[in-house]
Amino acid sequence: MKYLSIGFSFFCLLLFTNCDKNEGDTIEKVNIIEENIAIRSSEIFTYGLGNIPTEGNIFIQKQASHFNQSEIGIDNAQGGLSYIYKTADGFVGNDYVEIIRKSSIGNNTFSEKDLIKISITIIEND
Amino acid sequence: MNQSILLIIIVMFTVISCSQDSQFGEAQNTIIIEEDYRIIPNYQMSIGDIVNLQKLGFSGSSGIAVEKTNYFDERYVIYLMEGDIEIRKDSLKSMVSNIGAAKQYRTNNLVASPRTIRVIGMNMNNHPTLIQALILAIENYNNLNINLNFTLEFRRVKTINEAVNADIDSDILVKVGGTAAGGSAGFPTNGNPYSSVRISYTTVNFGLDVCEHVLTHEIGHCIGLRHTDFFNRSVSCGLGGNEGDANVGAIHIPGTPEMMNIDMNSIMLSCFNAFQSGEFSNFDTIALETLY
Repeated sequence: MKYLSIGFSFFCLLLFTNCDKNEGDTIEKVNIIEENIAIRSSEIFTYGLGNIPTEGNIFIQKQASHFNQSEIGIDNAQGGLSYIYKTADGFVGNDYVEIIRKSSIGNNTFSEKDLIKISITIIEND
Repeated sequence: MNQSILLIIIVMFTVISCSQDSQFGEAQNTIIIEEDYRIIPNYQMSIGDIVNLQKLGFSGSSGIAVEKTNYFDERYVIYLMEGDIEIRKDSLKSMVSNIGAAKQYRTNNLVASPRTIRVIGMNMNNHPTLIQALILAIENYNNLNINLNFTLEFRRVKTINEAVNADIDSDILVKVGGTAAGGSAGFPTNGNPYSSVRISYTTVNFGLDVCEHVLTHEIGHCIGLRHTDFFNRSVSCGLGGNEGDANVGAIHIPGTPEMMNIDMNSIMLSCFNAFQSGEFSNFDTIALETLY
């Protein structure tokens, strides 16, 4: 029993030190960037997200609703990341996506967050 | 028996709770996006631009004017200096106004030197690229003319005791974790380097040089380097602001050049891309050799 308790204590200690500490965000600054774009339903929209935070994360917080493709990928030309959107077949109307970019000064604490809000108006092809 | 069940439940809970850093790893489709470059023949650079380029340290450098079209069909003129340094004509003035701002920076605390820093890569056996990258990162530091000597060892750890021993035996313990490409570390305290570095296995998607870059960058933090563009993360990230003092300090490192303000080759820039070389810039070397 004694050994199990000691083992359990060590395990808990290891748990706290090993977990990715992203859960413990202490965001101090949030920069909001709003983009309004209009595309034809056959177009692919690409939004450059720049380079990758060495300590941080970029992800889609609120996914679009009407899409064939809505994802973040490596931008082979720039070497960084891009968001790519292609509307669902035949869809005309409005769509919306939110992308979060978190970054840190070098440690596990995310001190800065960019919230990119992209409103997309999809119009019919000519 | 009940105790064993309890332990199994805890282990399962740990695995689940530690793996929710989903995000970036989900959709990593490779997309090829082309940009157009067109050399502008017989371009007449203004005297003002020549003076500004000289202020940025390109005195006597060769350059060509290029029209670039990005994927939003926006066209702008860039000066391609020394073969590979792009400077937008319309950004030139603001770059000059920031002269002196982008030097290499350190934290208030440094590692006491001379000393040997013991680095242990823990449970990296399933990640050969990361092993190779860590070897190269340590070589980067040992190739400098500094009073810090780095030793490197890899350990496969299976028990708690072995993990505790690896922690005790190392000054910097390197672990693989997280799903978003990149890593994390911390800053020195009490004359000691920060005790751990984390690198995500997804960094491997960017290749060996980028993994070497990330590990060299994280070890840089451990021994007291701040981001070179801490005052304006958009220099390397495209987005972002000032990290500020952040309670660790941001002290200019003497000896880093006063005039060449945009060190876009620094390994300590906030953000990286797929084209990183994994090597120190000349200014990084000056900064570390000045500190140590």
